[in-house]
Amino acid sequence: MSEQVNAYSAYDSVAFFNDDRYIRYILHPDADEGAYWESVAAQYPDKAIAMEEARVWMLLLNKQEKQTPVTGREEAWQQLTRRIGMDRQQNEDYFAPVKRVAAWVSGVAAMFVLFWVMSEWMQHGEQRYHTDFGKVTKIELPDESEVTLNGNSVIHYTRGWKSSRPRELWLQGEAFFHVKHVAVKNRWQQADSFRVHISGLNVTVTGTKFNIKSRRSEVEITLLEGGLRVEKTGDSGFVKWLHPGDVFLYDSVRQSTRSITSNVQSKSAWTRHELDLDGYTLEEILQILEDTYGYEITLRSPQLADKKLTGTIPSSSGEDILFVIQKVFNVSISRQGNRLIITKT
Amino acid sequence: MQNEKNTWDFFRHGDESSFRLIFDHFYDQLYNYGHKFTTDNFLIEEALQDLFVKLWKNKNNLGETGSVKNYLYKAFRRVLLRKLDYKPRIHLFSSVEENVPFTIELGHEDSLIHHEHVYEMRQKLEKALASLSPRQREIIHLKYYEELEYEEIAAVMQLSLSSTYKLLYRAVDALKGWFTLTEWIGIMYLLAIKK
Repeated sequence: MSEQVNAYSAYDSVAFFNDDRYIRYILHPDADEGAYWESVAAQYPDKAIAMEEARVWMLLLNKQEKQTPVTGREEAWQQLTRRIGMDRQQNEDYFAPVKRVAAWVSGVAAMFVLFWVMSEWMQHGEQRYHTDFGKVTKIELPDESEVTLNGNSVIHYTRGWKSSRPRELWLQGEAFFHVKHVAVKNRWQQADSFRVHISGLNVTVTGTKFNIKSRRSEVEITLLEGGLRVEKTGDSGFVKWLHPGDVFLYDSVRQSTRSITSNVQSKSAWTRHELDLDGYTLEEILQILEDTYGYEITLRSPQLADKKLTGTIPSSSGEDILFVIQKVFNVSISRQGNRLIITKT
Repeated sequence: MQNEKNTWDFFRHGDESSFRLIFDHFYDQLYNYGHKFTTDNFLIEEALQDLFVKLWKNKNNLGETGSVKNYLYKAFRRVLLRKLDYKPRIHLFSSVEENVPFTIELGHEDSLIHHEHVYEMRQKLEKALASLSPRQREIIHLKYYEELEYEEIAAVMQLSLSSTYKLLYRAVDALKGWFTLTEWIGIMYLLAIKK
């Protein structure tokens, strides 16, 4: 330590000017370093002038006036997008302000009180939503993002999303997400990503619109706008990047993935209380009736199973869908509560 | 920085909003850096457009990067210098690039500096900087204004690490002769005390 301080006896202004530790202190003062340099100055009073001169020079260089472009940045961006041909209209949500809801903050305060009972805290600090069969619910998240839950689905996350941590939540079932950008001043510095955990997969997004459906052994992820990354860690892990219009499918039993391009509007039709039948077989529609609407179905005429339909039908309730099936396939449906037996007439 | 890596990766994979974020964060500071090479506003803005167009068109070929700032500064410098018609040559033959001008305009916010002789010291520093070569001035700027590390300076200026050390050493050495104020003030101080 003394040897280090002795080195300053040979220092002149230039040496101080060139000393990385001194530079760091002058440009980014902090209390501890301040104490150190004060002790150096005390031990070498004749170096005070040299230290001062180096300091002034550093600051003169560091505090140069910043030159700004004549054309504003916003206009420059417009020019740029025209040149590149990005005719996608700017997502108006980009500039949505962040609103920290007081209720979530009090949830965080509760966290400290229950700190010594960690597992209990996890339960109290958790926000959970679930939908009954056939019910569609819209939820607003702490960052003003919107999640629409389809029937028989669950979502949960910890309360009090802080801007310093990534936003994340867990999903079972099906949900449509409309994630807002978090537009805080130092957005570059903040942990801004939004993550959804589903069936062993991690989905990371920037502000986007996307649909995730996890039913039985298949996960289907559809991206409408923005950027999305799906990741599975561990054995047979993978990373996949989606572009708007992509539909990604993961079979958790076969541990296989595939991608298709599809009409993405059809994948989110349920949020508008419609079901786009295109591409669905009767069997698949019956699965939807089971998974989302809670029926238990036996199809007594298996020859109908891979018959396909087209068109869009209302889907506010399972009854709407059954009505169409009955008419189109000319079947009879006998019921016992929510148990259905479907037979061709 | 974790989040910077995220944004860069999303941009590389085609996410426009991440691209916008990079643009918003770096546009002004790149302009400021460009203004040291030329005061031609139109040229700098054009270079910035070229840079970002190139970046977007080339995004699929970009790899991960340790520092987005370094990457952009280096890329922008190349674009701008090429526009200024000083073609940087590869590897050893950088002699043509040596002549590309670089100007430092010292600030006038003396209230931040707190020294009674700051006016004279600025005069002195201005003269000292004028005596340096453009590349020596640039390295001083990158070190004291942009606060880059040696490796980062080497990457931005496309020099080897040893060339960077040498260049900085020579720059600081050239400044030595200008620190005479020390002795002068020292003498005045001593004279004042003797009274």
